[in-house]
Parts: sequence; structure tokens; C-alpha cells
Amino acid sequence: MFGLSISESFIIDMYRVEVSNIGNGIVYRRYKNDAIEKEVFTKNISLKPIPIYPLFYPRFLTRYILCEFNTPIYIPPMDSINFYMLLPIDIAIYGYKDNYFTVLDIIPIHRLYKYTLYGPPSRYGDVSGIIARYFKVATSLEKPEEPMQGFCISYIEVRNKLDRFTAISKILLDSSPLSIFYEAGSWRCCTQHITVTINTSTTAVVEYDRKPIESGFKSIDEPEETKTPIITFRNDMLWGY
Amino acid sequence: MDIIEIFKSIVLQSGDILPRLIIFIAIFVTGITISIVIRKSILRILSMRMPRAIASNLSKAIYYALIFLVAITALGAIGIDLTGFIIAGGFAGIVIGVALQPVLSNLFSGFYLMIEKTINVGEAVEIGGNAGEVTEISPMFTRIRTFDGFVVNISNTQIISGVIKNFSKAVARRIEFKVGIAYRENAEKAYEVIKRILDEHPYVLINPSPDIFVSNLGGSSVDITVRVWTPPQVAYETTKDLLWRIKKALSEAGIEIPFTQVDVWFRSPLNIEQIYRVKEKMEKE
Repeated sequence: MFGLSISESFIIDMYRVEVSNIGNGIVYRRYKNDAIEKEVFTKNISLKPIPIYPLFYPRFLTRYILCEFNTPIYIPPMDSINFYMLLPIDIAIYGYKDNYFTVLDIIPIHRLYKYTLYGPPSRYGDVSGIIARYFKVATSLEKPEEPMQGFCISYIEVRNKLDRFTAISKILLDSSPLSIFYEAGSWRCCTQHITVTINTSTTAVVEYDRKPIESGFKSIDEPEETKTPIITFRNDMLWGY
Repeated sequence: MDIIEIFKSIVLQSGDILPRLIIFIAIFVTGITISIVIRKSILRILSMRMPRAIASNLSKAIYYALIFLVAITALGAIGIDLTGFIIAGGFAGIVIGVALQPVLSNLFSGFYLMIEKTINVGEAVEIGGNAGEVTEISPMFTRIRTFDGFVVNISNTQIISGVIKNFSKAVARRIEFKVGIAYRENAEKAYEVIKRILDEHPYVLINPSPDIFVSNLGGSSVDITVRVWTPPQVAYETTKDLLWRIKKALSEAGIEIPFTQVDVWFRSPLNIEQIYRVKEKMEKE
């Protein structure tokens, strides 16, 4: 369960995680089909599974996630629509010692990890496309009761500022202003309220609230890769939505 | 003048020179120390506001100007008249200007590179056939550590006037390779095998989508060209990995990757028996 110290072992998806105290140290092992995929030796720390952005497997290349909706969404002119989205997440094994922490392992629980290019493939001055983690995501107008393991609930509001119908099929999320919140002792997690404002036929602005959509959920400790200085809690979608 | 008188003369003169020399050294050493401190402070302050290469070169330029001032001050303090230097400096300036034309050209090219940011330290580039990572951009030279480990210094003029291929400016890289399959094999099956490998590979981008097509009906094989886009950081390892996986998958699917074959046709039927007889005859002889 998220946020609880791993006492002995647990099974998640196709992986078995085992933590054993040997001598004066700790051995962390992650198995896949009885073969060790990851092994770490450490000492005097508390190991906890925490939800993490799906950006670290096979290695961290970008802080952006491009979610393509499995259902296209049409917004009437000068109107807005709200819906829920299941944001894919991975599970990180954090090691805690007093106020310090580190990520010891990333458990990739999705079958397929892909990247995509959002925007043009070269840089023109300061404007350029970006490489983003790609996921096809499920959306619903009703709140999912019990989300599947490996997904966070995200609440999205799309505002159409144009005087015509607009279709939105994808959303670009920046892991720096985006936050993941989890309920300690369960596998439930969520993000904050995300607002997408469609300004022109090709551009939109994605803004992030500070609070989680579920009260009482705790924010994850941001890893170094996604902990960049945040000036504004927003990112732009310049190359279509 | 005997040797004793010469010695006395040197001692008398040195009585005058020694204090001057001490003053010169004192001013020079103090000046250089202060210049070093100023250079380091400027470098630290500028590094926070501008790229490291520009900050480094600006601080170097200020340092050399300070050294020049220190030298002038030290010489003036020991009573050396610098008026002659100034007059001579005018003529020398013209001579030096002509002599240093290539040097100055490099210098201004260096400043142009820094301001225009055509290349930056840490970027992967190819200049004049040298592909590698930029490790330093000085006012005169740009230093590249090639991918095979050599350090190459390229003059800035050469960079400005030549062709620069900057791999780091690309947000995504396209890689391309050809796979040949035998004529008797099913090209559609090969296409499916290759497509599956590309779809499963994490570094092959969804968009722009991979391109797989028969590009040539060659002498010995049907050539299938594969074009994929990848994040630039992993372009090299993706190329290696894809080629390996595709080769393995095609072999597992029983698809033959042929080697070059040449069919030789004889105008008249070849009599094998006759060849053996000639060979036996030659052995007997």
C-alpha cells in the first residue's frame, strides 16, 4: 500500500517485491517470474511504495506526458466541459531516513512505454517541439469508483473560448506543476484539478490547482528530475490539442 | 678599468636599481593578485546571469586588460618614461594589426559564436568531419571531444565559414536502415515482423510514425527501408538495438536475409568430365 513501510513482501502486477534484513543491512529485491530484476543493498532506512509519474522507465528523458483520450470530446462554443481521466502512473520505491529520501527503484507496471513528439522536430529560436511520454487514456464523465492499480484519477475542465465547436483529443501535462497525491494505506491516488483553456484553433493553456481533488491525500516527495523551479502552475499547448 | 672598479660600479648602480626593482615587483605582484581576485569574482557573478563560455571569456578579457594596466602602472612607478611606448605603440599597432589579422578574425568569430549561440558547450556537433561534444568555446578556438575520444581544436573562423551540424538542436532524430530479404520470402510477413518490433520499442516515437517500405528490388534481395524517429539522446543505442532485434525476429520467423549471389551462365554446356581429365593430366606432369 502507498506510503506504508514494506515489512516483508508484496505483489504488484507481475512483480514480487521482497525486503529482508540481513546482518545489519537491508536487501531489496524485485522479481519478475522468479528472476531478480532489481536488487539494492542499503541500511537503516524505511522503504515505501509511492506513486510516481510514468517518466522514469526505461530512463528519464522528458518531464512531459501527452495523454491522448480514447474518446474525442466536443465542447460547444463559449462553454466548458468537465470529465475524469485515468492518468497512468508507475510505482517508485522510496528510501526514507529522517528528512532525506531517495528513489531506489521504479516498478514499471504498464505493458507498453512509448514516447512521442509534440510539435516540430527542430528548434526554431526559442520555440520548439518536445518529446513527451505517450499514453492512450480512458476518460469518463462520472467519477470512477475504484480505479485500476497503476492509475490516478484526474479531474479535467476544458474551457472553450472560441465561438465555434472545438474537439479536444489530447492533453499535454508537465510533471513539474503536476502533482500526484496518494492515500496512505491504500492504492488510491489522484492529481489536482486541471483546467485547459482553448484560446485559438491550435493553442491551449493547461493550468494546475495546488490542492488534490480528493481531500486528505498526501503529496508525493518530488524527485530531483521533476522538481524544477515553478514560476507559474501552467504549461502551453502550442501545437494542437 | 680593472676588475675591482667594475665591481664597485655595479654595486653603486645596484644601490639605485634594487629599491626600484622591489617597488616594481611589489606593484606587479599586488596588481596580479587583485586582478585574479577580480577575475574570479566577475566569473562567479556573470556565470549566474549568462552562459558559462561567455562569462569565462569576458572575465579573461577583463583580466588581461587589468594585467596591462598593472604593468603600465608598475613601469611608471619606477620612473620609466612611457611616452616612447605610446608613440611606438601607434606604429606597432598597425604592424601588429596586420600580423594578427587571423588571430583577430578568430577572436571576433568566437564572440559571434557566443552571442549567436550557434553551438554551445555540451552540445553534440559535427564540424569539418569532426563529430563530437563541444567541451570549450574560447575566443580563438572551439574544442571538441570526438565520439572516439580525441580532442580536436577548430579555429572559430573555420566554424563560422564552414558547415555546422548541430545534433543537440534537434528535438527528435530520424534513423534509417535497410533490411534485405530473399526474393522467395513473403515481404508482407517481413513487414509485420519489423512493425511489431518498432511498435514494442520504447524509444521509437509514436509521432512521427515509423515508415517501412520496399525501397529497392536489388540483385540479391528485396530491400526494405525502415525510418524511425527517436529522442536524440538515445538515437545511437536505438539504432543498435533495433538492428539486433529485427535480425533476431526475422531469423525466428524463418525469413532469410540473403548474402550477395551471382548466377554465372555459360554460352556452351560445361563438360565437368573434361575438366577432371585436364586436372589429372596436369598432376601427372
